[in-house]
Amino acid sequence: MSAGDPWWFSGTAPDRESEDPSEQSTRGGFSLSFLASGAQQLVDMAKQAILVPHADHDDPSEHGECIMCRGSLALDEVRGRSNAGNANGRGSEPRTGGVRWIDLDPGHTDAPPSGEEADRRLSP
Amino acid sequence: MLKRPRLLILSGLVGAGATRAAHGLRDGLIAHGVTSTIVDVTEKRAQIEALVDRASESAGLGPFAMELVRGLVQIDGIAGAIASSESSAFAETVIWDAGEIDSFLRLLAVLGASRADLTGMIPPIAGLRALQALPPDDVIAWQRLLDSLETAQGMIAGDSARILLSVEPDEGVDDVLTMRMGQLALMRQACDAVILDGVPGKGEGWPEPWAEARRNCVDRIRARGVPVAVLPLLADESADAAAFESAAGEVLSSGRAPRPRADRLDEHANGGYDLHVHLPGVPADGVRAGRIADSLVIEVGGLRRQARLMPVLTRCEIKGAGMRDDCLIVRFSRNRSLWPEAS
Repeated sequence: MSAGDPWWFSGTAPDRESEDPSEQSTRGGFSLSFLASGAQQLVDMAKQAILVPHADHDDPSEHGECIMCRGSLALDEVRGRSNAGNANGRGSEPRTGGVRWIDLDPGHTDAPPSGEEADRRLSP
Repeated sequence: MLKRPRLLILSGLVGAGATRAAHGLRDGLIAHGVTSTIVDVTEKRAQIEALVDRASESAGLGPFAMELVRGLVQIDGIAGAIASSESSAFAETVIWDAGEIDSFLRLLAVLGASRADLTGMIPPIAGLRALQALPPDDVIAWQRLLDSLETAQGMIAGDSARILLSVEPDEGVDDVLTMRMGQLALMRQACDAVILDGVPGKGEGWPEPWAEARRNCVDRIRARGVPVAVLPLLADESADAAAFESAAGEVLSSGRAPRPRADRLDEHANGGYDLHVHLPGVPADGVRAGRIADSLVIEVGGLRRQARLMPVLTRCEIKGAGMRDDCLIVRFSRNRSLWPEAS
């Protein structure tokens, strides 16, 4: 990689035409220098990346290592204090907490078999 | 006329040679007269993480920062998506080495979240951001980052993008056929072609039936309607340039697999609703569904997609669900306490 290549580039540069790559990498794009100047935004992105592993956490109380679970518990605590005795008419639907899983119906006889023998690709 | 792919996203199981395939395909495409380049940000990961470390320190996050670093596994994927979105000016075809498939699927989940979800779904972070009172330049930078992610989303969803899975016949074929294609469907994507690396040729002296079992993998994948680019097993265990040129030709000539249909809502005379979620390739015994607040959660093989319910369904209760053919059908009934106009 040469100094003129964009920050994401790996390998041998293909034949380039007339333009200067360093200009292209910054032309309306997201260059490494831009990443540096927007470092705070990367911190935000890192936080968001935590969302995905957190998605597997049904019960926040069981995942003390997860910052999202800890945040949820803290938020619930705050809400619990501020909303105590103040039902909002949304019935028993919890706003946070674990997933309420549904018992799926038993398999239908007209459904294709599971596994590799089933051809479930769409028709073009 | 077949539209030439402009973005090839290459992913695979651990050790399946996705990076090697990406470089081989790049050379193969060039041999076909197609200028191509590779997006691979893994080498930049240390740089990116260092930037984040510095930002964490300057933000005074303390122990919080240590936890952030643990969450950085998606940063290279996000950076790869952004790089792909801006690299199209560099070549006719961009090959994005998206690495291991679990990471790629999780990245799709992140990219699939709406801007509102990305910016507003985490109360602790929203609070933190408000406390920090971001300076105007950072707000602009944040806006541009979100724009870049949206561009990346658009490229991945576009007609000229192809998702290729690199697989070895010895391991991973069953996983791809029984689970990974379903997980891609969960993320509203599909596998456009499989690169099968290391298929022993017939009559080349490889021991049978070991070799035959490997060759049969090609037919099993093709039986699913998925094009297969075969890289032959050579004595030195390394496919040559001719093999990659042939594989590149296969990729160029294969079309884009249809993506799952958009969700459909049927209303019944009794006021109930059926939500049809198209999940082709998802085994009926490998899916589960649930609700969290106003979102529907669907899980396939441990991978989850959380999508906000349509407004009308937020006033309903889930009465049941099941797989029928290749659709998950979730049945809703009106929550009478939330339908005052009906009482």
